[in-house]
Amino acid sequence: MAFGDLKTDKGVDALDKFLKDHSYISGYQPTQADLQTHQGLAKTPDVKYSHALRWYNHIKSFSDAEKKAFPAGGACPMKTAAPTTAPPAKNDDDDVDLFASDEEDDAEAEKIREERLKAYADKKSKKPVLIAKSSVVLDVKPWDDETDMEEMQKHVRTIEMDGLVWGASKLVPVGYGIHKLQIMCVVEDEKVSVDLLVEEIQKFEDFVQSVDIAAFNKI
Amino acid sequence: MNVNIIKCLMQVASYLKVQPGKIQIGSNLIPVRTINDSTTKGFVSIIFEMLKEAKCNFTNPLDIAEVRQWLEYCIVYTARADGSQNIENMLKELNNLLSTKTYLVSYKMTVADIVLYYMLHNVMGNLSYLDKEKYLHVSRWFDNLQQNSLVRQKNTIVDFKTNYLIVAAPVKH
Repeated sequence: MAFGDLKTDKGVDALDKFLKDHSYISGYQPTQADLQTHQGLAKTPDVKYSHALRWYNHIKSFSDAEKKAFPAGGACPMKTAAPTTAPPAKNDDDDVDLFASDEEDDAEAEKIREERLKAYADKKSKKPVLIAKSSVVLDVKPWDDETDMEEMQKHVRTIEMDGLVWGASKLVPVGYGIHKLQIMCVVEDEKVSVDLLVEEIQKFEDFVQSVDIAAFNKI
Repeated sequence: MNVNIIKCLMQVASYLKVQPGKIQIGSNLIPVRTINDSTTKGFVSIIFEMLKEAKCNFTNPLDIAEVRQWLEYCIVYTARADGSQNIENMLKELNNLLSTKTYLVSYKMTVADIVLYYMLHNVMGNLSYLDKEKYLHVSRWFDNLQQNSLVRQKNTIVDFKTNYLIVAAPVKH
C-alpha cells in the first residue's frame, strides 16, 4: 500500500482511508511498517482524520523496547511510494503551455459561464420540485394492558417535525387484553428520517415498549 | 441472542492455557466453576481466577478496573441482548467507542477483548455486509482479533471481504 507523501494532507488522507478498517499497516499486529509510517508523519494527524489519529495514538503508546521487538512487516509504504503530490507548478516563461489562454479571454469566458449558470438556476427554480413522500404505518406497542392507550396516542401525536403529517390511527388487539396502536403518517423523504421518528416515539418510555414499521409505501 | 456462557468460559480457559475444571450453570443462571475441590461463583470472578492461574497479572490498577467493568458489560448486556433493537443499540455503542480505540482497554489486547469476541461471534456472523460496514469500527476490531489463531480457536472466520472492496477501492495501491 502506498500513502504518498505523509507530510502532506493528501498522504494523511490516504493513510486515514486505509486505516478505516485496518488496525495496523501490515497484517494484524504492530510491525516495523507501522513504526516507519509513524515516523514518516510530520505531526499528529488532525482530528478530522479520526482513523489515522486512533492508530497514531495506539502506536505511540508502545515503549521504545516494545517498538524494537516488533516483527519486520511488509515493505515500508514510505519507501516504495513515490510522492504522489505533483511538484509545485513553475511559472517559467520558457514553458510552452498549449492550453494557455490570455487573461482577457478568461475573464470573458468566466462572464459567459456565470450568465449561463444564472439562466440555468432561474430555469430550475421555476420548475416545480417533485417532493418524494412516503406513507408509513407504525405499530406502537405498550408495556402491558394497564397502559393508557389514549394518553399514549396523545403523546405520539405531540411529535412535530417539518414534513411530517399524522394520519388516522386505530387500536388493534394483540391478545390478553393488550392493544397496540396502529398509526399512519405521511413523511417527506428528504426532511424526515423514519428511524429518527421511531426513536422519537420510543422516548415516551412510560408508555411505549417498542415501535415497528408495519408498512412503508412511496407515494 | 443466546450466548453459551459455559462455552465462552471454556474458550477463555483454553486461550489462557489453564484447566477449565467443571463449569456448570448453577441457581439464578450464575455459572459455577469447580476445580480441585474449590468452587468459584460468577462469570467475572471465574475469569479473574483463570487469569491468576495463568499468571497474567496486570500492573496498572486502572486497567484491572476497566477489564472488570468490560466483563460485567459482557455478561450483563452482551450476553442478554436479544431482539434486533437491543443488538443494534449495543453495536452502535461499541462502534462509537471503538472509533478512537484499537482495543477495549488501554493499548493492548486484554481478556475483555477476547470475551467480547466470543460473545459477539454469532452476532457478527449473522450481520449483512451493509451492516458490517455500518459498524465499521466493530468490524475492524473483530477482524483484527479473529486473525489471531490462539484467540479464534475453532470458531469460523467471519468474512469481511466485501467490506474491504467497498472501503478500499478509492485508495490507490
